[in-house]
Amino acid sequence: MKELEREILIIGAGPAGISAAIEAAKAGAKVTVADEHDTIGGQLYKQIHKFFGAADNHAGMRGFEIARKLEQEAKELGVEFWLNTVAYGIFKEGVGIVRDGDNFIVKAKKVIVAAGGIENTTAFPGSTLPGVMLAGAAQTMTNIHRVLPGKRMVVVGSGNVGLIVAYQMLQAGAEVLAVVERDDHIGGYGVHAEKIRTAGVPILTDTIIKCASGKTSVEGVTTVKLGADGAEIAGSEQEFNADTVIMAVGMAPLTELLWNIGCRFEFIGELGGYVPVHNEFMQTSVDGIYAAGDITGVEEASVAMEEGCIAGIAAASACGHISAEECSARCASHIDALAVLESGEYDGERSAARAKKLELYKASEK
Amino acid sequence: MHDGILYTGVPNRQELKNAPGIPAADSIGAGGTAFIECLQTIACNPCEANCPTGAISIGAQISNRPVLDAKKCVGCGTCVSKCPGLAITVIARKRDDATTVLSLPYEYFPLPSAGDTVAAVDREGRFVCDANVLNVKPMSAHQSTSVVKIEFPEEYTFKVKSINTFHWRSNNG
Repeated sequence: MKELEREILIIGAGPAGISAAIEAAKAGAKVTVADEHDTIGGQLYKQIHKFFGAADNHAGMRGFEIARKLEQEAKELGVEFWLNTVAYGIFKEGVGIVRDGDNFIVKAKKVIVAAGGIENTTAFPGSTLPGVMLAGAAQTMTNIHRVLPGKRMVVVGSGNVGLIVAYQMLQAGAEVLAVVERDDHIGGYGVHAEKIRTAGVPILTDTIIKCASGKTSVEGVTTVKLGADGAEIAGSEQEFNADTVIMAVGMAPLTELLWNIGCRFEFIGELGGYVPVHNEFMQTSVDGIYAAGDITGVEEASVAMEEGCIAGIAAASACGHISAEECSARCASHIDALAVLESGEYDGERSAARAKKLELYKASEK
Repeated sequence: MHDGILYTGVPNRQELKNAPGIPAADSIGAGGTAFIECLQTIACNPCEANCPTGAISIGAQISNRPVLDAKKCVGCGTCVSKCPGLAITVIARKRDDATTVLSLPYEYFPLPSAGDTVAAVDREGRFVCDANVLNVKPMSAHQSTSVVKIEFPEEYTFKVKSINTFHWRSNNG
């Protein structure tokens, strides 16, 4: 098999991966970023809403604008991008990739895995009908390809993704008949909920989809309310004349590459499932393998970017470009920023989850 | 029955009263005052960073809620298009003709035009009253968030939250 040599290989060109590339390149490293898609930016590329966070760090910019800015900065620093490139495994010999139909082993001094997350699904009678899709697919069709997937929609899940996708469908001219949420409260930010409530969209809590019906695609949706015992309440069914169901029922870290090389994992429910343990410099339990972004736990893009910066600086330092002291000094502001981002009523438990990962990393060193 | 922003997406009276970014009714003048409906602790601070008169404070812990100093607010509306949550409006009360002017963030096409009559709606999207559109700042001026300024009878001052696009669209064919 053909072999290629690179100094730092980053897998994933989303907010974490590009941020890592920028900081590693700034420290003097030669950086290559591989991504299976044909565009740079990962999920940022399809986000048309303005981002929260610190004003001096992209807040107020829309997701796709952040992607463009990061891409430009990385390219100016000489970062090499391999698009349409699939990284399928990390082995002792190197990282296995498929690029332009050819199979390569990439021997890199350090590897940063920023593979992101994957959407969860839910099943109900009729959930295999055309017209039922995930939020990411609805965003790709509408925001990138400018094709509205339907006219009358029901959204499942009231987390930030569900609320945002409902708003985006309204903006694109669709009717959103309801957002349903099986919990007793709304999962996402109140401000996102207010935007769609003000547009007249009901958010139905303690409610699930009982079924979607239709001959060859979705022609109607029936919801039902759940009682305190979690059982369906007979007679509480509601019919919606919908042609589309959008699922936004959470995400999980996309961790196969790290399992494959033998990283130590821990199950942390708040972060979306099994996540790799790492130290404060995003180094996993396998020497030379770093992780950043949703792969370390599903959080906001702002957190992914800070983690990416830290991983990039640390990997460049480990290659000998900057001293350990300089590495700590450069990482300090990003570590502080993580503490601020992981505070507040929606993110407070995240800082505890991060502390747990760091603790487990220390324990595994012994 | 639960109410409030966490359960319904609509803030209750107490939540609005307790929000440090919402000015006391008697401090809202003819020149306009920011009405910051930011009720939860979310790490975010563009409103503070962009306020030209220092009327909004959050501090280094950016998950704090914004605190408005109504005396310093000049009603310029810079924060309206800067807030990623679209949570800020500017309210001006023109007591001489018993009307209220509301500047609100707006991200739907097509935009209304000055002189249009539009449906003003409450926080559940329900029709409240007709409103006159006084001014529409183009999306290009504010990273694609337009600011629409509407005027309506003052009795609906705290009831009106936005304009209903669907109603407005059907009115205009």
